Amino acid sequence: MKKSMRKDFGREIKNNFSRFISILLIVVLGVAFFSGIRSASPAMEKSVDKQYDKQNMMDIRVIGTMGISDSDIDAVSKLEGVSGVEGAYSNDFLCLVNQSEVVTKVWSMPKDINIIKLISGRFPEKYNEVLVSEEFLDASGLKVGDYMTLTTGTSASVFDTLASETYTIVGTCSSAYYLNGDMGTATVGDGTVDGYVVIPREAFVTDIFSVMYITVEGARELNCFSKEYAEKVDKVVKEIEKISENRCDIRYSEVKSQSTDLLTKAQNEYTAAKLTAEDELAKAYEELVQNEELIDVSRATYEEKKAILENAETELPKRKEEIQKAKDELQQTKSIISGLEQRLNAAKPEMDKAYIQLQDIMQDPDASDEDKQNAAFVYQAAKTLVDTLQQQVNKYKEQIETGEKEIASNEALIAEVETQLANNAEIISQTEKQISDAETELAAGKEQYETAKQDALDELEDALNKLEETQKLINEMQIPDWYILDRTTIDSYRSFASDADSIAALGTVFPLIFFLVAALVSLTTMTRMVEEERTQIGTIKALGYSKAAIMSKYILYAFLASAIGSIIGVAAGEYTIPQLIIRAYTMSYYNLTEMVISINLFYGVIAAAMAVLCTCIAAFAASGRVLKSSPASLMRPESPRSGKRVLLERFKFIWIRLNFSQKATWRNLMRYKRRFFMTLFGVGGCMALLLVGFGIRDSVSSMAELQYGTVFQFDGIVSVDGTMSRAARRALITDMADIKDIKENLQANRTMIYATNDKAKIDNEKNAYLIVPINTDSFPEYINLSDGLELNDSGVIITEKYAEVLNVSTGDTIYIRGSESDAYTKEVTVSGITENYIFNYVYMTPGLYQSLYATAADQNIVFIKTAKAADTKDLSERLLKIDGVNAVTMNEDSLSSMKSVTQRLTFIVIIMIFSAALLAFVVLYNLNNINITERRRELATIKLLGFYDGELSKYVYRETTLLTIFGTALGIALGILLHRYVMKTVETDVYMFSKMLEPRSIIISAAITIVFSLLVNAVMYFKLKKIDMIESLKSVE
Amino acid sequence: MSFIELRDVSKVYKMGEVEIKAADSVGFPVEKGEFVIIEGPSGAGKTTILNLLGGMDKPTNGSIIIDEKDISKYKDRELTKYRRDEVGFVFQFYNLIQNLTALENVQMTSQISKNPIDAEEILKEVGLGNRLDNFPSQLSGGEQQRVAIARALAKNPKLLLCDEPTGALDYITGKSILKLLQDTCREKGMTIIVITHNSALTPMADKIIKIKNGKVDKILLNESPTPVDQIEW
Repeated sequence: MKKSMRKDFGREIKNNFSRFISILLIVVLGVAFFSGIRSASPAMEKSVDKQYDKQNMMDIRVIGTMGISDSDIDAVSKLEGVSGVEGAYSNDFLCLVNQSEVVTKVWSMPKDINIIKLISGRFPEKYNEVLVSEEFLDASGLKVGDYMTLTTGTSASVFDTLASETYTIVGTCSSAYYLNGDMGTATVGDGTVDGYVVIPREAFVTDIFSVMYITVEGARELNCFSKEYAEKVDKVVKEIEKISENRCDIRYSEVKSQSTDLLTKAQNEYTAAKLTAEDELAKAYEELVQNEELIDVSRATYEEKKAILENAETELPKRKEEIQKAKDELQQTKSIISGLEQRLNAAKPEMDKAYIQLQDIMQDPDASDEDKQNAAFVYQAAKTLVDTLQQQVNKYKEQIETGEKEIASNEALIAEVETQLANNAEIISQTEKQISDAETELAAGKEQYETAKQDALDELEDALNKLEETQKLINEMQIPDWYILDRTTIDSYRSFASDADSIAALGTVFPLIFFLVAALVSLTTMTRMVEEERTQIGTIKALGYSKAAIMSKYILYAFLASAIGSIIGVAAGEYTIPQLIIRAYTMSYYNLTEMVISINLFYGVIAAAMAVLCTCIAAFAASGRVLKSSPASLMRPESPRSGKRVLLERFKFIWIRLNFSQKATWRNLMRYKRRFFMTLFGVGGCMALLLVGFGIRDSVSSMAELQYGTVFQFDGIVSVDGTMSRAARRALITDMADIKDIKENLQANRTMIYATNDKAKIDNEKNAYLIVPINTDSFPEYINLSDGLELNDSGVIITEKYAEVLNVSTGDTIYIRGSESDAYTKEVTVSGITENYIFNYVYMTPGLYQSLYATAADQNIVFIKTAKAADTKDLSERLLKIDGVNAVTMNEDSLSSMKSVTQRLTFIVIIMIFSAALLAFVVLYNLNNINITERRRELATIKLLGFYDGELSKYVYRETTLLTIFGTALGIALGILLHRYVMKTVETDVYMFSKMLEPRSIIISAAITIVFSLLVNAVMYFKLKKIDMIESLKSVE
Repeated sequence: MSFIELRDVSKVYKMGEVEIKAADSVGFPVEKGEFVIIEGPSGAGKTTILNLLGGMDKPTNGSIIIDEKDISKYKDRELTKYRRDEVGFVFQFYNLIQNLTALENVQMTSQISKNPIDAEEILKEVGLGNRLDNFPSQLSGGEQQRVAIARALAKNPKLLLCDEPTGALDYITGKSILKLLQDTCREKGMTIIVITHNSALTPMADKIIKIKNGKVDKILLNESPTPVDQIEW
């Protein structure tokens, strides 16, 4: 480039900086959106991948229906491609807090796999300490330092599983396993896990793990959302599948032998218990008999004693009489004595007198001997009388003494006998009571013995029944299954993957709109620039510069603008947009703390190359076209392009009613085609973006509403034990019927099946739920089949998306296999295809099932319809308490979880509105700007001719307005197509989105588009006002 | 009082610190039905006077009376109304709307003015009865200027302002346009002011105002204007 040309080039940019900027900006916009949105989805995936890697998230988990033993872990760890295996315990409990139940998933503390992150507090150190998730704290209202108590919610004891019921909360944690609050279903409470808690391993009392976590060699390095990752993991899944049958057999025999051992032990125990019981009973009986005998003996003694007593009682009065007699005799004797004593007393003085006389005589010397003899005689006689009397008295006295003694002794005897008798009477009455007591006791003892005997017998019988039952269970024991699940079965992984996919889908479409518009904008801008410099180009050409030299200026100009724009765009777009999007998503995936933002050169280079190419080609084309003309003609003003008739003129009756500005507008539209298309696509793009933004939300929300409102007429599914006996099932159904909130129910079989349209191609296989209702009459009241479809024995009705993924239509045959074998053993005709949105279903009559499988289908689910005002949470809880109920899924819950997805999509809508606004502004501003500058002279003339500002702007805006209307109309069509495309891209094998757009969304989008257009017009109004009328007088440049 | 009277009109443009007097105490009268030519070299201030007369600009000083109304005090909107109803413009480069046919270009003004003349009629009068539906690009320069004159006349103005109406036309065509203007003046009693740098045209006017350096140099009255046919340049 010559020096002067260089100078010109520099000044060109400087003087027309706004033009340079307008190209640069649209390129920034296009490139930023393209590379930014394209990089967003990988950045989202990488962020989660990093989060997973950081917590060494498992790639595969295996759940055994009979648990996982250490030897299972050994076996799996020996498999090729397995880098780590870890067994873990997990169980669902209820935590009661203020009478509300918090459904709690209890995990054992992980060692190396699925490491949890400590958020606050510390790790548990003792068996009764627990680390809880934030969700658990939110649900329970507890805080670190509180105690929590677990219950099983059933009759089972917590101690069957855990060493403690009560735990101290020592901290909070987060796990990458749950990126969001969606923790899946539980087997207790209302069936939805409210939060998880982690306790030390030793708190689990069993040594059989409930789950084993497996990491795959080399999987960590891969993006876990990539195909390579899926393939790598799938290989290991296949390996595990290979050994699973064998392992399950081993586990089966292990459990069986253990159970048999236990049974034998129990049987022995039973026998022993029986013997002991019998022995004890016998002993008890013997004792009873002994007691009876004892009672008999005591009764005999008692009778004897009683007889004696009675005898004594009759003898006693006789004795008393005798004593009385003796006393009487004694009295007589006494009276004799007193007679004698009187005589004695009388005799005594006589004797004394005699004695004195004697004495006197004696002493009396005068006394004769006779006298003396007389006296002595007298005295002697008196004395003899006294002595005799005395003797008699003494004899009687002696008699009395003896008699009295006898009486006293007899009386004492009698008294004694009387006391004795009295005593005896008491004793007898006591004995009597004792005996009767003993008798009552005996009777009670007998009764007791009888009940004890009955009890013992009953107990024994129960034990025997139990033993028999156990025996039956052992006999009926099924070989366990291993559920080998990869990360796609984790709810939050899946929903995140689908969110990343929807962003990727946005990335495939929207940037293209921006690119198209960017190309059109730069083309119009470059054309305008070249046309403005027409005379100058002519002059330079006349001066002898080559075409290439002249052209290079414009191409360089375009290159510079777009290259700078691209660099800014890539840097800004790839840095900010993924970050914004990830930040928005972490609002719902709050456990995602990692963010990987890297400049994605691939998309950056593609975007930049496309942008630079587009603008340079535009510059090339515009300048090339002008350069074809001779310098002379270039230096002359360009002859105005002739007006063209438009189609509308053919309709004279309309045309003549239009005023000049309307006519001019119509003709202008047709005249400037580039501008027409630029605006059309710009406005149309804006409209389409808005429509898709709102549409994504519509589709997701209406999908759930259609599925749970229109297709599914039932309100919930109760999963029950499919192997229950008929009686047990009847009882269960009766129990369910007792719940008032359940209005109706329909039993059905639900099994996972795999089907293909071509037996030879296993790759075509897709899974679905086979639903076989117990009767087909009321089936349409539970699941709404599309118009005119009816379930009959001629074939199955399959759901729309299933038909699509299997590539079959009505009348085709599909081949079905169950999960237990690889062979497609059944083939059925598709007799109808019905509307459905979430998951795939195959509906079959019980008759057809019977003829296909040669057995009746087990009823393992019950569709329920609830009363309108039913409290579903409460209902779930009540249902789960019924024996045989495994799980309850209420449609209301599914609907509300879908609603939260819809809310998350609000962010997409905001991105859409924002980008649509940018697009509309850029395009409409450009259009108006070009219109005004290019038609400056025309506008000045009109202004000069006395048109008011309002009329003038109407003249200009009419075009914008019309183009906005056309663009909006185009945008509706474009939007509907794009929306369909996007939803189709986002759809997985098991989801079908409603492709319908709500009229409301169309109206809102159109309104927003029109508002944008009006805003641009408002900005332009001031520019119009500034147009100088004098310009109309100037000569053409 | 004359139909049009400029009294001591000045227009000063400020270009930074420099003041440029584009019109310096200009004053002249124009009678109703007069054909006036304002003549002067480039940069003399002709266009400034035209702008002021046409209500496109306001004087810094002085008053401009048109039919007893002083437009120098008008507000923007009043000026627009003045241009809309009372002045017809004929431009050097015709300034037709390319996307409208001859008829539609004329209708454009007739549709907005108070008492318009029928557009088709006026086009017939300027001799374009057979080109009504042609677009400007399908017409010759003279024909385009006729459309422009028709457009100016269609609103039935009090005053017809013509800015170098023959500037872009060849000799013969220019003559026919001037004749059309002269005839219009004579036949309709239209007041016409033509601005030109070409002094050869002056004999056809009733009044010639010569401008030099923003001032009225001379005002000449022509008792017997020469018919256009007889003027040569």
